[in-house]
Amino acid sequence: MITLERIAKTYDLGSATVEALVQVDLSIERGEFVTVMGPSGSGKSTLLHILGILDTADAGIYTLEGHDLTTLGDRELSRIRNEHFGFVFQSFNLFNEFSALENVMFPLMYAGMRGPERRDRAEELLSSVGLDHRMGHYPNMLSGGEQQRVAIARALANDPTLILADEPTGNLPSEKGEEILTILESLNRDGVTIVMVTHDDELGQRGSRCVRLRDGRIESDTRKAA
Amino acid sequence: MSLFDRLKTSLRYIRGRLVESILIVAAIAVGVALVAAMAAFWGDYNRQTEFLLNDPAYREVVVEVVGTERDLDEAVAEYDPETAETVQLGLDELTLAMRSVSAAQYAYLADRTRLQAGVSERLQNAIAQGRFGGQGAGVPPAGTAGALAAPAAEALGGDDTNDSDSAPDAGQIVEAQPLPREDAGEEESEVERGEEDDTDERAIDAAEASRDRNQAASPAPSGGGRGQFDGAGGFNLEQLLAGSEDVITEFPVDWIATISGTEQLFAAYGLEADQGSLFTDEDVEGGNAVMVLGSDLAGRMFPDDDPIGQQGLFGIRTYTVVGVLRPSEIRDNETGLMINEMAFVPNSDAQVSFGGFTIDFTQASQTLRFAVADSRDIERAVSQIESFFEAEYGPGAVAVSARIEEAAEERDQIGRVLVVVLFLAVAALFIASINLFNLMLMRVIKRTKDVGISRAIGASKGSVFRSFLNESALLSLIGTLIGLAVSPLVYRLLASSLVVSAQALDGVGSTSGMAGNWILLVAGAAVAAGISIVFGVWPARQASRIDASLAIRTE
Repeated sequence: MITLERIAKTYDLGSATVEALVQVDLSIERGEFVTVMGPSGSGKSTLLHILGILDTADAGIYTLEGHDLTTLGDRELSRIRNEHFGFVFQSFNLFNEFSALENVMFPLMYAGMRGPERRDRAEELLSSVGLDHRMGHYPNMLSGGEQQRVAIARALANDPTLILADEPTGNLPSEKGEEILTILESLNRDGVTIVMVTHDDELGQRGSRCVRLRDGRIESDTRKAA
Repeated sequence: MSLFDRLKTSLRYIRGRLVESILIVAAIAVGVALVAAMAAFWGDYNRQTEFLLNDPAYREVVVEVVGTERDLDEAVAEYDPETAETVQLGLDELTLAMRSVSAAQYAYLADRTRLQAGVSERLQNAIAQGRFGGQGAGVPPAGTAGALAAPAAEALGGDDTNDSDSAPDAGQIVEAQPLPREDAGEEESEVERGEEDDTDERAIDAAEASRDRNQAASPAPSGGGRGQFDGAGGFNLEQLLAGSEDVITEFPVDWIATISGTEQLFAAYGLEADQGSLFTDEDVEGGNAVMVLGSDLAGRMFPDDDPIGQQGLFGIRTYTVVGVLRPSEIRDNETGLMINEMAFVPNSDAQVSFGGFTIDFTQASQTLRFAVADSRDIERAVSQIESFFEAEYGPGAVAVSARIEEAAEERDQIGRVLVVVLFLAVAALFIASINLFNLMLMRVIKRTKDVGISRAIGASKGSVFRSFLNESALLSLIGTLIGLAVSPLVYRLLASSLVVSAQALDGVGSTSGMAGNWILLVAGAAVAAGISIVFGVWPARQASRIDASLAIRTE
């Protein structure tokens, strides 16, 4: 599904340059549940952002379903993010000025879906994560677990093929984290590819494949026997 | 993302920071209102001044005698201030002058005077008190029937009620007094408020002086002061109104503002007869007591009857109404009155003799007027007129002035003020726009993370740009609409403070002027809105350039 070849990313911090990723080759198949682990600063988030084309690599080739993404413009890339990818973040990253329902409606709005249809779809998504009763609530009125579930509903809005989760349980108490993980696993069972960055060794073992990064390089890449 | 969705989203963000949004909207509203009002005012100002410069008053060149003792009939060499008598300008001078003044189309006299309609109480009293020669006690001509008897007797009887009704047929002398030339505007109120007392006083003085002269020249036959009022030769108002059953001596108005002029006055001012006819130079030369009325005045004086052919007592003379003017938009620039409210009489010498006195009506006309057909000819006309009078009477004998010159100066002055005000209005808009710029830049910074999130869930750079531009444009537009709504008020405020005492702008700032300029008003507002929208472009661009990956990691 996704192939990264010799991907490199350097951050220029003025006084020093930081090599976030060095010569990363990675291939992700449809339906995988990949966990990305590694110490702080090992380039996990950078890798995730590059996979989600929120960020672009300085060098290397990114191929999505056989298409070289480096040739595409911002509009096309945004469209891919909107329709094929879904992001889930550690700090939820909801729009605080908008209700849970409206947050979920945003990606639908960017996709050009019409108002009433959009509302129905968003309600359906929120129900599927068990938030029927919280649709009109603003993020600051919701618990962390609820906020993350809104974020997942938002990530799922346009039926993405890939979910990119950056420590989705990092800010949650363990039982709430477990709920989130359960949702992700069930999505994976339905065929959605998942890439999840985590610190947690136990969580790292929950996926079908674990990629370990150190200093911007892939240290290990282990697949569980099915 | 549809425009509607974008608008809704922008509104949410605007509502989210309501106070600062309201303040910026208010600032823009002020800027827009000022600019729009100024634009409309500027348009009015130009249109109105153009219009005014074609007004008859501004096509007129006025020649005034310097000093009051000069007679323009005399050649320079013979001029002697010691011996020179009352100045007199008349048709002869006009005719003469026109031969050398080719730029001017018309030459005429047009002295502003005021005629009494009916009898003033004060004059009645003066007669009753014998100031016209008789001793108070001796005056009552017991056997004399007629007009004087009733009021005089009444006055002497100590009955001071003086109901004007009780003396319906009493006509009385009023000498037509020239209205002092002053700046119009004030003059209007002058006419209203009047110097009635003063005028009466002067009229009485004039009458007394006249009597003295007459007495000196040919002593009254019966001799003695009181005798003048006795017998057939006595001072008898009945004489004034001899054979006068048809002469109207009471009018719904007390005074009428009058222009004492010559034939070409009508052409120069573009006035035409609606009923009857205008008077001619023959009437002027013949001293005919004819009168042409402005349309409104005619209606007020003769509400029920056809004015043409009516005879009325005005001052000391009986005038016959020969014409009524077609309604005109013109305002007399010297009195500030509508031409429709004025009367016109021939500017001629006239004497009225009665009771052994001769009262001289002569108005020493000290002003000759010329008019050009096209205001562009006025400078040429002024210089020709100056040369003519200088050649004829020597330098400095007359002052030649054209109102258009004063008007142009006034216009320039106001124009300079307008530039300053326009500059301030633009400055206000500019400051408001800079504030909007800062506000939007701040919002971009504050919403950096939101931008990152939007990008992650599928917003393109263009979409982010449009969202922010949309928000600032929405603030601008709300401000513009409010500004546009209050701009007529601002316009009126500007007009009333700028047009004070500026006759060249008479009519600017009236609501009718406003109505014609709504296009300029809206155009001004549109330009202002455009400017403030432009100030939102840079912040929106900054927003679109935010690095989504970094933004999303900021806490």
